[in-house]
Amino acid sequence: MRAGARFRSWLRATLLRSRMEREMESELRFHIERYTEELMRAGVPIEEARRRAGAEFGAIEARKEECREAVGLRLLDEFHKDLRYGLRALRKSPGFTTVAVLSLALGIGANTAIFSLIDMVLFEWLPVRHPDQLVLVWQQAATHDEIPLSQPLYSHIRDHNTVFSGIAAFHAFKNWSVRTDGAAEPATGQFVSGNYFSVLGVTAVAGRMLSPDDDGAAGGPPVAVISYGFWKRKFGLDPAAIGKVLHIFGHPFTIVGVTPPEFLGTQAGFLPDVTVALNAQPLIMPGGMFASAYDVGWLYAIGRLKSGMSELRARTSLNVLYQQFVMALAGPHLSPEEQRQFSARSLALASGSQGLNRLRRQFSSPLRILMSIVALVLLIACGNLASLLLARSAARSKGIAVRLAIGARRSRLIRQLLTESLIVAFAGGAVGLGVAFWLDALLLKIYGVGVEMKMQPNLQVLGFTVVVCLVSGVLFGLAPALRATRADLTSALKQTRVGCAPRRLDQLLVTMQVAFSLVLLVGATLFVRSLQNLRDVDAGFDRGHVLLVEQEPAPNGYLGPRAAKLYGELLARVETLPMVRSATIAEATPLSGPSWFESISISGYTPARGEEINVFFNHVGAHFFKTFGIPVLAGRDFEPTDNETAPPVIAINETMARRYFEKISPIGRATSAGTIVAVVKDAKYDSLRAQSQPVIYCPYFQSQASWNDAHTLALRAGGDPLQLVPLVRRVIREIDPNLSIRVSTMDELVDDSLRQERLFAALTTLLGTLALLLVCIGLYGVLGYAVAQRVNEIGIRMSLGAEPGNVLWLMMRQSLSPVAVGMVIGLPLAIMCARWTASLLFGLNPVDPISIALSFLVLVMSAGLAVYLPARFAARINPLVALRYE
Amino acid sequence: MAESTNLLQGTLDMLILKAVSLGPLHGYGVLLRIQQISGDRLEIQQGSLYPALYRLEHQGFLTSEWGDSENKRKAKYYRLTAAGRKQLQEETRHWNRMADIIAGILNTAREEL
Repeated sequence: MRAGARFRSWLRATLLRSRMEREMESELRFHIERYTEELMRAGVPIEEARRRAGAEFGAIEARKEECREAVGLRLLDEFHKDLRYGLRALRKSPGFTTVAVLSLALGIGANTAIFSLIDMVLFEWLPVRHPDQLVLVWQQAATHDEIPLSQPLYSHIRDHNTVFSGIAAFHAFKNWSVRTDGAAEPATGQFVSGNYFSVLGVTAVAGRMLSPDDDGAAGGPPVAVISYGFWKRKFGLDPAAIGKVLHIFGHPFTIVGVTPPEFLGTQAGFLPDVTVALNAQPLIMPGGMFASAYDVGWLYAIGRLKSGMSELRARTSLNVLYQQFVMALAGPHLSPEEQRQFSARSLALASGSQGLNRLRRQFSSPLRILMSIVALVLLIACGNLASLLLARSAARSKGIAVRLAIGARRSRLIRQLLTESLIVAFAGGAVGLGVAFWLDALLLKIYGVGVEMKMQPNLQVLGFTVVVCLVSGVLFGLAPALRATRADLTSALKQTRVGCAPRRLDQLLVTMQVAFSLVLLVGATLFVRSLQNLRDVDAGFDRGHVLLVEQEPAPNGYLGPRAAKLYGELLARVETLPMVRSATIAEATPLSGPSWFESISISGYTPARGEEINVFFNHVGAHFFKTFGIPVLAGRDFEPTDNETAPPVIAINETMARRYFEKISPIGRATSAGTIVAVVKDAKYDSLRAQSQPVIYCPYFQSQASWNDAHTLALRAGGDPLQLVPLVRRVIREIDPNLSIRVSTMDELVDDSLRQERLFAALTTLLGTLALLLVCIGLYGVLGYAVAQRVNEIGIRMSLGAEPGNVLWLMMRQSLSPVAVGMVIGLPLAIMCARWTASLLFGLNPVDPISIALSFLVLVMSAGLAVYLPARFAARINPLVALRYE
Repeated sequence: MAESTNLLQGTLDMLILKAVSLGPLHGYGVLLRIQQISGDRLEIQQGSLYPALYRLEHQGFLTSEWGDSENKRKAKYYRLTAAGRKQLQEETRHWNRMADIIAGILNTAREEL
């Protein structure tokens, strides 16, 4: 209660400050006047009475100060004073202030930027009711692969579990062709169970969400829910959108509602524009009823645990249910092989508070590395500022000594100096927030293509920035403040410039900065060299001038021969377009990931016992190798004549030729997939990093099994491939307006595949350079200051016969020894950190001697230059001037 | 002010609480009342009175409000709070105990040891 009273009293005094001052004034005046009156009543003349009353009361201002202290205003007042003092001191040295604020802005800004990404990717919870109760459920294979649930399995769990108050299922797709009016456009879509929104607790901002009735077996008219973003983009937030019809792959769906703006789906980085019920699957993905397919795992399940249910108990209970399902229900629908696989699996559970977060796994290690890098940069910046402040505080030591001598308390002075550092830190932080925002936008732009996220500053990020400002302000401000106020009064007041040895703290700071920047430099060199290696990799294809056009014919009703006819017509029409050198289609384009693999037999090749010839298959059109610039090493490219009526032919890649046809020419050899007519160079399918696998190319028109699959149209252009886009668009619209397309170029694909590497190389180089610059500024500043302090001493040395060379070396040695120590410490540190990045490197060992040597060289040269300049100044000192120098 | 005695450290707060417990007072009134009760035997540093009043109010032992003084001028009147009354009892008990103990020590004759 008393603490409460004190706080209320303090708050009143703080908030109603001017009133309190007024009242205090009149209260004290009242006292003095009453006393004066009393004295006068006792016969003292008025002048004398006034004098005595005032004298007995004492200094009125001092009394007031004591009263203020009594109600706890003193700290606040002193803080105000410190703030003013600090601002004045900083205004007086604009150079220092600018350098300090800018280097901190970069340091703090980089930290805030990476932290907000981490916060978003690794920590952000779904904006739904009680996200902490949600768990994800999937099948875990013995090989640790994660397999989504089949629809019958999901239904079984939904209907028979005792652990969830509700469990929903979802599956998201990237490329749905959606038409509201006008041409179809690609949109993101997802299938969800009817209870999805009620399990999550998401309510509509307009219309209604889906309900279990929408997901019934019979199914009424198909309905869809759209996202807030889609509503805004397509309908301008018009409430009349509810009830309108949109076409997904040409099938009509009635819009019944809009999800709230903060709801971004349950899969991180994937924002579904359109959400429909599971029962729409056969419409949108023709070729099977997943509702009764026991072997198609396609659904992620997210359940809400009953209150008091632990994850562990839920897992045990669910796995009993799972085994029951495999034995009794799924058994009859599965082959013996599948049954064996299924019983080796189990159900796995994980927290669903963030939804399905694949980004987490993909980005958590790079983000952690980036976070460490920016933390190092900030530490270097702090170290640098500490050295500058040390030099500055020495310059101010006389003023401080005077104040100590007349009785200022040391803690008070330290507080004052710390306030000054904190002003700098927070100014840096404020500018840093701007830097962070810009950096995040940039990072998302280069890094996050295809990842839809909302960047917005939130309380965590702001809190993080405030803490970083506080910590760094104290970090770089405390040691200089302690030392400045420990001044030896007599020598400080005399301020004679006697020579003083470099102090240990300065050297420690330099050592630390050098060690950390060596780490950063080695990292930067590694990433740059790794990127170089990747660029130099022979990808096996010619990336320039190739336009890629993706479309999905099957959901639009093109199946079997209809699809083949569509592609035949499409190819025939685009080949006649101007500027098109050649055109083809391909199931898998280079760098888009391999298609599927199959086992084959080769006549004349006897596999070893148990060996299976597993080969990647790619179904491609005529002129495929010409279009992608994949050199044909032997044999011929596919021709339009390689069609259904012609004998089946295949082409194989080098790796396959080497593995299965060691001594003989493969051309003309028969395999179970067809006769080999060509051997082509290896082309990278997965990524530039991956090793080549054996690949078989089959002509599309001879492979009826692949006719239902989407194939990418590829065009080699005579000039800029993007100029072809409007022409291709028109052709496709003329053939079928319901076909939506996505265009890209092979160049973009290559660049995209190196996005992470480019980003790391660019960022680490930038940050490494920044760190190096800071270290050099620090070295230059510290030695420059030392030289200025030792001018007298140097003068004496020179007049006693020291050569300029001796002086030069003397001064340089002083600075270079902590640099050398820093490098010795930094080397093992750098090697340790480099090992940590091994997974991000390509074609080089993390302990790469060339990278280390290069970093050493750069650091030594820059540090040498930074100390050479002030040392040369010392060597050129004129002894006559120096001796008189004060 | 014959034979005036300097105030023992830390007892001013207690005397102020006592003075105010007899009825609301302004600062000058507190001074007068203490001097009056003590028969002018105690001298109080006038300036030290106000920081003590502010401190006691800050601690919640006193509250204050502005009111008319005897000569119709506005003055700030202090009044004891419940917490202040408890604190006064506490300090009085403590003081009496201390006084007993110290008097006992000072009155000890050699033969009692």
